[in-house]
Amino acid sequence: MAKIGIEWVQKYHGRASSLSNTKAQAEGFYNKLSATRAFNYGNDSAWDSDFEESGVGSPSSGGDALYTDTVHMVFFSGHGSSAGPLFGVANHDDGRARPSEIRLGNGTLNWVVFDACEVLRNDHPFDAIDRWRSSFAGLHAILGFVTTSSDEDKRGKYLAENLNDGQKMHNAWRNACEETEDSDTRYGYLYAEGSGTNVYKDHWHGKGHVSADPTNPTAFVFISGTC
Amino acid sequence: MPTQTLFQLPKNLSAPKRIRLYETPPPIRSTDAINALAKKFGVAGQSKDCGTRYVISNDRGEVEIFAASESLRWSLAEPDAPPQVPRATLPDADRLEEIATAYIREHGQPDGKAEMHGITYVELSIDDRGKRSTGRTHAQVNYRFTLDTLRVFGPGAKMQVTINTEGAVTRFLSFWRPVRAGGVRAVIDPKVALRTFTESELFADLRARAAKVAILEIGLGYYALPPRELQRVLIPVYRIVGIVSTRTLPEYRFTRYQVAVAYSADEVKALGVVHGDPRPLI
Repeated sequence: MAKIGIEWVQKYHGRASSLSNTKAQAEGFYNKLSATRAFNYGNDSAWDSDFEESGVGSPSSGGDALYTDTVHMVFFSGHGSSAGPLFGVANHDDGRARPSEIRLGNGTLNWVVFDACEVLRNDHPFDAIDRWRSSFAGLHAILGFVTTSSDEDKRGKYLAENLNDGQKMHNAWRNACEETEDSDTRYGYLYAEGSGTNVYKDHWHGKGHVSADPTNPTAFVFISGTC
Repeated sequence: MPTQTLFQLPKNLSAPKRIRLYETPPPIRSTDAINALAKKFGVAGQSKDCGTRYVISNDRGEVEIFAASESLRWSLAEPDAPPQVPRATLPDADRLEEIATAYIREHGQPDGKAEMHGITYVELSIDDRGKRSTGRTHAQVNYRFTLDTLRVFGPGAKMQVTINTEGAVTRFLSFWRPVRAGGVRAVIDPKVALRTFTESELFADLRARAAKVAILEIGLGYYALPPRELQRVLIPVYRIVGIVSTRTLPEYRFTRYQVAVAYSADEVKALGVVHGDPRPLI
């Protein structure tokens, strides 16, 4: 059975305001999706280095091979910006998982959810494809937001329910966002394609088609819409 | 405790002294009623009980009818092929509004007062071996609800009509709960609501020398939970919009809701709120 992991941050120790619902958000996903639960790291146990490639960036203390890239899907809930998801502690790397430090999918990971503001921001000069393309090393898709998103506690659970119901990955994310945000928010879905892949048709494991990994992506597709 | 210097607060706060309460009795639907509703959207077939939703689908499309609210989502069957940037352009704004209005009229408008508040777009960018194509595949005509001139905030009160380049409707959301007018209650003074908000744990770790919180707007309305959730009353709330600035996150724009009526603990239980963590609301 496919494996999942979650990371969430409520306490930012003054690096940003605290958040109320990220734990419930991520755990809603974790407890609902039909999957083997591999890890649940919250607050000071959630590190940016868990998402980053070893030896890449500065500091180069990435450890995704031990954490995020050992499971099929990861759900992060916390603060974010176009510079990447933000963590509550900065004593393992710099406290922000920057796209330039991320290489996902060269292990196990297929999909990553950044339930955080603006990680997929896409207006000049913040082009989502250009910013994230180097992060795809077999990764199928990034699910996230173009704009600010709400600090609410239902989206993770709905995403998991939708995937369990057999919805395509893109549709499951769009539908979960529509049901948890008002129409000021825009969701985003960024995926890669390569030789012999059909990531657009991806479902959760055991619920339908799962594409081969786009290990050498030749195309990137970014879809965004109003919730 | 944060000091007031951390916050930049709006001046001259005011709000109505009283607000009408609205009950939102959960719907009771028979299988026949569900099937009849789906038929209105050209979808006939066996309904699948997904717990929170009844899903009816055929080769033409799919209707999801939410069990806990009078909400539905219809979508035309999507092509299996990956998305392409269309060569044709979308209809102009006037035509989009016309199409959306006619669609809602034909398919039934909920009992609330819905107003169009903007047209947005489904946007697609494809980078194929470095060659970029970008475009708008669909327009989204968005509606909000009001009651007694007050907005109903939250994800459970909106409509959206999605239209393609041929002017055809391909998707429709109608998230709403029918309301029944109840009593009238005193509204918490906005200054008190704002003080409660600024003293919340959200800002407890921020220090004035390293952070700023600017409250930009505070407005009275009602809050509607997601359509999958049972909700017996629309909750009167203040919608608070602001920006938190710190060195690591220079511009975090937030929207939060603070309850605008003083509920006792017993009343909270009687409201039947089953939300996992109701603290942001109550």
